Parts: sequence; C-alpha cells; structure tokens
Amino acid sequence: MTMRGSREQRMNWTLLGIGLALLPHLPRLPLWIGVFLVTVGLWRWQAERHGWSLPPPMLRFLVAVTGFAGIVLTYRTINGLTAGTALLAIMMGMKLLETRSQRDQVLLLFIAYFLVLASLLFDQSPWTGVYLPVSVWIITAGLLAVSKSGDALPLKQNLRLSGRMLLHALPLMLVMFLFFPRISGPFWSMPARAGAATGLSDQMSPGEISDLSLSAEIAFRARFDGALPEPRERYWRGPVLSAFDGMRWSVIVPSAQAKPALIDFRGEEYRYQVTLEPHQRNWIFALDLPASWDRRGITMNRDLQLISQRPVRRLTGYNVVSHTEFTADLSLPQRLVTRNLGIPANRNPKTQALARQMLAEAGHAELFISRVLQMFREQEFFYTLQPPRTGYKNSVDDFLFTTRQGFCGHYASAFTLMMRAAGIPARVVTGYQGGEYNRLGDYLVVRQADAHAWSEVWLPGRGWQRVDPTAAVAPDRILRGLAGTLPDAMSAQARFLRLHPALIQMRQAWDAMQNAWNEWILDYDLDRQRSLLEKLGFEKPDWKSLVAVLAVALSLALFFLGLATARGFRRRKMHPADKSWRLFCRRLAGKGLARKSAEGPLNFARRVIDSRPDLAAAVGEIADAYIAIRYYPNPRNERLRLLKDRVAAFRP
Amino acid sequence: MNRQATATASQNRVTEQQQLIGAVLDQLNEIILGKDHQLRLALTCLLARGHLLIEDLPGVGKTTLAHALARTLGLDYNRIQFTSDLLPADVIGVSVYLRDDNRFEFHPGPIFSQVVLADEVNRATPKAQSALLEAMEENQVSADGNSYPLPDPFFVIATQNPVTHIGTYPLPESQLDRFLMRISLGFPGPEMERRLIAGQDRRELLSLLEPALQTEQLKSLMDAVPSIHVSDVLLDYVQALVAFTRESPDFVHGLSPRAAISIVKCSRSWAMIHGHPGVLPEDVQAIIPAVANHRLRLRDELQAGSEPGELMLAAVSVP
Repeated sequence: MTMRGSREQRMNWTLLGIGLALLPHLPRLPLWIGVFLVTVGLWRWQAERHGWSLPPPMLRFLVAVTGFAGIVLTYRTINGLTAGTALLAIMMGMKLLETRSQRDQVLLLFIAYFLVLASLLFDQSPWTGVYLPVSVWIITAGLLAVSKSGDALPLKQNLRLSGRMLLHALPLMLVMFLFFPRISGPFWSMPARAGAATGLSDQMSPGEISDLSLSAEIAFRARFDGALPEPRERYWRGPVLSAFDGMRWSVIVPSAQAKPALIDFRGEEYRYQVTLEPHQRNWIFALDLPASWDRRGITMNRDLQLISQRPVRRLTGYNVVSHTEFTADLSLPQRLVTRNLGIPANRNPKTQALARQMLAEAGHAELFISRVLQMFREQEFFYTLQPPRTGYKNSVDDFLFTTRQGFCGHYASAFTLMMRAAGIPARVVTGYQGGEYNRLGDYLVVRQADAHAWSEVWLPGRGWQRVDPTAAVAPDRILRGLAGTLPDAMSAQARFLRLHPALIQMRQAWDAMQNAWNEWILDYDLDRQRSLLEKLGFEKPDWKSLVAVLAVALSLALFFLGLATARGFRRRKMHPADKSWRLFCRRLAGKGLARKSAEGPLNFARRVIDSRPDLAAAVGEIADAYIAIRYYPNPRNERLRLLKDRVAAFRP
Repeated sequence: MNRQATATASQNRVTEQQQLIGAVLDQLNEIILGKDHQLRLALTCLLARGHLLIEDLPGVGKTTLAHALARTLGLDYNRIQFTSDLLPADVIGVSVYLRDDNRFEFHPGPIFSQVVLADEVNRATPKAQSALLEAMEENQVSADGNSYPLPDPFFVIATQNPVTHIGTYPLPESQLDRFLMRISLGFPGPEMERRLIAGQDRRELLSLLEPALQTEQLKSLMDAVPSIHVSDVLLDYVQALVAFTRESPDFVHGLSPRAAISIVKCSRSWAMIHGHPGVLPEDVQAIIPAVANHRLRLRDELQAGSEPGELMLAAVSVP
C-alpha cells in the first residue's frame, strides 16, 4: 500500500470513530451544530482522498470564534451537561480542520471515548448499552490502526485484536461495577437532568388525565413476590387532592408536624418491588395502602401518600408491603374534617342543591353514596376520552346537568363535590389503576395511560373509604383497563401492536428486557451493593469492606487475566528425558556446577568431567543416554530407563 | 534382529566416514597451522554444498587454504584475481568468432572449475561481482543463448578484504547471503607462527600434496549430510535462535527463513564431520557465528567486540 493510501486509511478510521461517538449526540444538539459537524466530516474525508490543503490558520481561527459564540448564544452558558457536550462536539469538528499528524488523530479518538461516555449521561436505555460497547470496540480498532506506523492491520484482524483487548477488560469492568463504592453526592452521582415533569401533577382539572391516557410511556413496573392483586384492587396511590376551587382540585401540602394517621391493616399482604421511572416529582407510587417500605428518604404523609425527600430524577427501585384492606383515620381531626368539606359557596349551585336533596331523600350517608353511584350508573352518563368542554365557574354543574360525558376526572370531581355538599368529608385521590401483566418478565407494567382519579369519603366508625365513581359508569375500565374500554383511546401505533399475539409477545419481551436492564444495571446502587456484601458474609458492610472487597476482587481478576495471557507462553508438556536431565542438572548445580542456560548437554558434560574426573563414568553415561534420546534417530526405550535409573542413583 | 543389523551397518558407515574426514583434516592441518576450527568450518561448508567467503587481511593464508582444500579433496582448481578492471567475460568466458566455420565458439572462463578461488572479490566492480554470484546461484553459465553447466561439485571460495580498506566495493547484503558461511582466519598463535616461519614454504608443500579423497568418496560424503537426524527439540532451538534475531532490538533485521535453512544444513554437516548421528545443540553453536554473522547487522555499530552470533547464542537457552 502506498504512503498516501495508509494515510487515507488512518483518517477514515478516525472519522469513523468520531462519527460513531457523535451519532447518539446529534439528535440532542441544535441543528446548526449537526450540520457543521457533518459538513466538516465529509469535507475532511474528501480532502484526505484528493490531497486538498487544510484551511489557513486565520480561517480556522474565525471558525473557532464563530462556533464558540454560537454555543454561548444558543445555551447562554458554556457550563453544564448539554452546553458542555455541544462545545466538545463542535471543538472536535474544529480539530478535524487542522488534523495532520497521527498524534492529532489519536487525540481525536480519545475525545471520541469521552463523548461515548458523555452520551451515557443523557440516555441509559438498553439500546445505549448495546450501542456504546460496539462503538468503543470500533474506536479502539481505529486507535490501533491510527497509532500503528506503516500499514494498518487488515480490517478483520484489527477488529479481532481490539475485541480481544476489550474482552480482557471485561472482568475488571464487572468487578468495578459490582464493588466500586456508589458514593451518593452531587459530584459522584449521575447528574440529574432538568426535564419536564411527566405523569400526574399536583392538581387536576377534569380532562387533564385524559391527556395522559394517550401516553404509552411507562410510569413504573412492579414485580410481586406472590400472587398478583385482583384487577379491581390495583389502585396505585398517588397525590391526594383536597382543595377545590370550583373546577380545579389541588394538593394541600400536609404539615410535616402532623401526627401520622392511625392505620389498621387487615387481610392479605402483598410484597412487591417497584422500579419507578424518573418523573421529576417527589411522589412514590405504591399499591393502596402501603404498610412498610425499605428505602430511606421515603415517608408517608398525613394524606397516606408516600413521599420521597428528593424528586425522583433517576430510576428508583424500592420494596413495599401493601394491604388492600385497611382502616385509616377512624377519628379524623377537626382540622381535616373542615378541609375535606371545603367548597366554594357560590360555585356549582345546582350540584350542591342536588346533593342536599338526595341526602335528605336517602336519610343517611351510606345510602346516599350508593344512590349517587346508582345515578351515574343508571342515568345517561357516558365515559369518554373526548368530553365536551365545561365552563370554568360551574364546571361540575355543566357536566352533571348538560354534557353528561366525562372521563375519570369528571366523575371523581363531581362525586367528591356532591359528598362535600352533603357534609361528608371527601377528597380526590389520583394515581394509577390497573397495569399490564408481562408474562415473560413476571411483573406488572403500569403506563401513564393507566392514570386514574377516584374518591375517598370519610365515614364515622369506618374511616376513609375508597369510592370509584368511574367503576359505576364504566366497570370495564377497572376490570379490563382503558384499552378494553375505549379502543379509540390508543394511538395508531399502540393499536397496531395489539393487533397480533406475536406482536404483543414481542412488545412484552422487549419490555421484559428493559426491566431486567433497569433492575440489574441502572438500579444497582449503594443499597444493593450493601446487600450483596451481606450475602458475601460481611455483617455490617461499610465503605471499608467495600474497598477491601474491591481490592481483592481486582487482584483476583488481574491474576486470572495474567494467567490466561501467560498460558500462550507456557511450555508444552515436558518430555520424560528432560525431567531426568533437569534433575541431573539440579543435583550438579547443588555442587556448584550449574549448567548455563546456553550450554548444550555435550559441553556441559565435558565441563563437569573436567572439574570432577571422579564422576566421569556416571556423567558420561547420563549425557550419552540423554543425547541419544533427545537428539539422535530411533531412540530406544531402554535408554530412557537407563537414564532414569542412572539419574536416580546419581549423588555427586 | 533386522534393526540390529541396520544399526551395525550405519555404525560401520559412520566409522568409514570418520576415517576419510580424519585424513582430510590431518592433511589440511599440516599446511594451515593452528587453524583447526576454521578448517573444519571450511570443510563443513563444502560438504553442505555451500560457498565460502573468507574475510581477512592479506597474507594470513586465505589463498593457501583454498588451494589446500582443492588439492586434498582431489578437485581441480582455478584462481581468479578480482581487480577493478575485471570484466564479466574474464570470469565466465567469452564467445569467439571462428571465421573458417563462420560461427561463434564459447571459450569457458576460469569459473569452469570444481574449486574456484575468487580472490579479493570486493575489489572488482559490481558488474563483475554479479557475474560470479549469478553463476554461483544458477550453477550454470549462460552465454549467447546457450547454457553451460558448471562442474559438480562446484565450490567457490571468495576472499575479501575488510571493508574498511581503500578501493573496495563491498558486497551488498543480498549477495552476501549467497555465501553459506563467512569465516576469517586471523593471525596464528605464537608457537604456530614460529613453526610457520621456520618451516618449509607453503607453496612447495602444496605442490607435494596428494588427494586424500576420490571424487566419488567426496560425493558420497556430501550426499550423507541431509540424512543426519534433526530432532524436534533441536528444531525448537534453531527456531528460537532465529526468532530471537527478529524480536531483539539489537539487530537491524532478523534472519530470513533461508538463513534458518542454512543453519540446519551446516549443523548437519558439522555433526557428520564430528561423528554425531543427530545434530546436537553444540553443533549448531559451532557453526552459528560463521553462518549468521554476515547475514545480520547490529543496530548499534559501536557494540565493540560483540558479534551477532555470540549475542544469539548467549541469549537463547538450550531446551
């Protein structure tokens, strides 16, 4: 290959390497950076092929200043994850404009490794888990090709060598993954992304949840130790909304000093593990009602909702024990009674009047509740994702008396308002209802589409009771999920995926894989590390034991790696004559007559006989036998026997 | 029983070979005093059907050695003195036009001889050198579209002055490779030198020499060389030696596979001369300097006193 050809080849490797590293960043970067990078890459590729000269220093300087200014204008900063990555990417493109020597190319490929790492800060999906090792593999092959003087190895050999190098690093990687201390702190942990909060919000106006129900995004997954709860019991408790302004329900943050609710759990307990997708809020979802949980920093507030100290910005796993039968707040403090009866007096007058009238007819609370539900069930109420708009001031009146079409939010809102108007403390609870069982992974997937709103009423002597008015209108929503109730609710894509059992299976298989990735890779944190150490026999694992285990495991991994590498150099099995000969040499070495490594048997024997003529006969016999066996044609077995005997008897 | 008989027969043959070789060496030692090792190397080279390069100062007995070898082995002998105006035709011969017959006739040059002494080969121009080296390689001479085979055995002994001398055209590495061995004679020891000075004139002695071998005997010795046994362990050793020259940073480049083949060839020949039915590491060690030194160049020329062959032998352990 010509000089030019191997230069071109090196540049191609470099371009391939940085291209692979940049690819996952491109969708996140502003368009102008993407266009710049692709242009520069293509230009450099052609420049190397045709031997064009690189741009003059002045032009490069101008481009660099412009690029820098562009970053500052786009992001208003050069700090932070996104701006920093963009700056790195654009500087990389700039470097291409002045890359001449092999050293520059090596530098570019090192930056490529860094960019590969940086893309992990944005995206940790299983796809990334596949893409990144492959790109590291190819970048390493590129580094091999670039740093080699003269012609590069053939492509296949290069890739094989680089793959072997990465495989050698694999045991070290595993050890580091398992035992490197997961120190929590702003510097050590993954930078949390500032992103739009997803999922349920801290307030609800009728119709908001129906927006969510179009989203197939996953809220969390739950793996149960034993049997799954029945579909009608799958209420995942989220934000509790107690304040009402006539249209909108919102959270009243309970004071931290409030005494916890008294709860009496009954019936079967469910043990399960939840892997919660990041949603940027403090809410922790659990099956109504959680009795205990294992993660520090999670508490239950006065409204019986689990709250995390910090917003959930990364995938979070926790174990929970829940009981679906319970009695909570047998006696309700006056403060809470007042709060859960509050309604704006001059709003929704028709609803209030209706409630009072129905209560008077029914006589007592429980009959009144079932009458209201009966009204939803028997009168012309419709469950729909596209309800007509209702007015702001009297939205419940509009819904109950005019439109009569609504989603879960409308029914929960109307029901709760009627309860309050009748003097029964009530509140709206939002969360998720249902979940799809993944047979392959044996867990429930709860999606944003499963978002739901229901009511809780407080009855003296019975405490808080869950009442789901939606169940009265559309029992299928509770038993078969949203998809079973309103096929139109799904996007075309989701409908397509449900068309065929094989597609369903594929989707579930993919989700099971995603879940395994979440559980084993992303959610492997200090707690899991601790429990692994406990399994390894440490009673109270702390960072010292972690460091000790890390050191020992690293040494072991390196030792076996070294052993495996050294095996290639090891001699093959020793010939029996060589064994005897070595023994003979060792015995003489003990007498100060060591054989030099470059000394042949004949010369050695002569030297020994010269300095110890008394040994002449034995040494001569042994040397002759050894030479005849190892170097002469047709060695006979008697020789070997003779050699062994003579050496065994040899005592200099 | 049969095996026993074969063993005895081969034993007899070895004894007979030893007697012949012993006679040759004795006679050579009478002429060249105190250079037993070099004489054995020269004989080894010849029996391995290789060509010999002797590099040394003028006057240490290079020509005498060549002449003595030819006489002792009963071969005819020609000497070509290489000078800077030597032409290829002076080496290989010339086609002469016969007017009576109206045709050209090839008059063979001095190269058509069983032993050719190319004296001071590095004083001739590259053109004349390559005429010789081509003949060595092809074992025949081509002239006017005809090829004329060289005699069998054909043995070239080239002598060369150390390259530092004035007025020389050093042989390029690729041509050095055509010589199986390169040896140098060196000055004789003090006692031998006294005997040399006091004794008869060497040239007179040479003319009195009787052949110690018949041509047929010489050929049978040459034919016996390839049948000397080379064991796997020994091949490992030779391979390790060659590999060392390729891996060690001391050498500009390692030994070629052809050089490795040459090492085995010479080791066999040396083993036969010394009556070994198989090649021993010692046989390899004895010939390595002569076979490897002219094929290797040290990266650091200033490593005074160390020869490539010595480095190899010291670094590679015997299995």
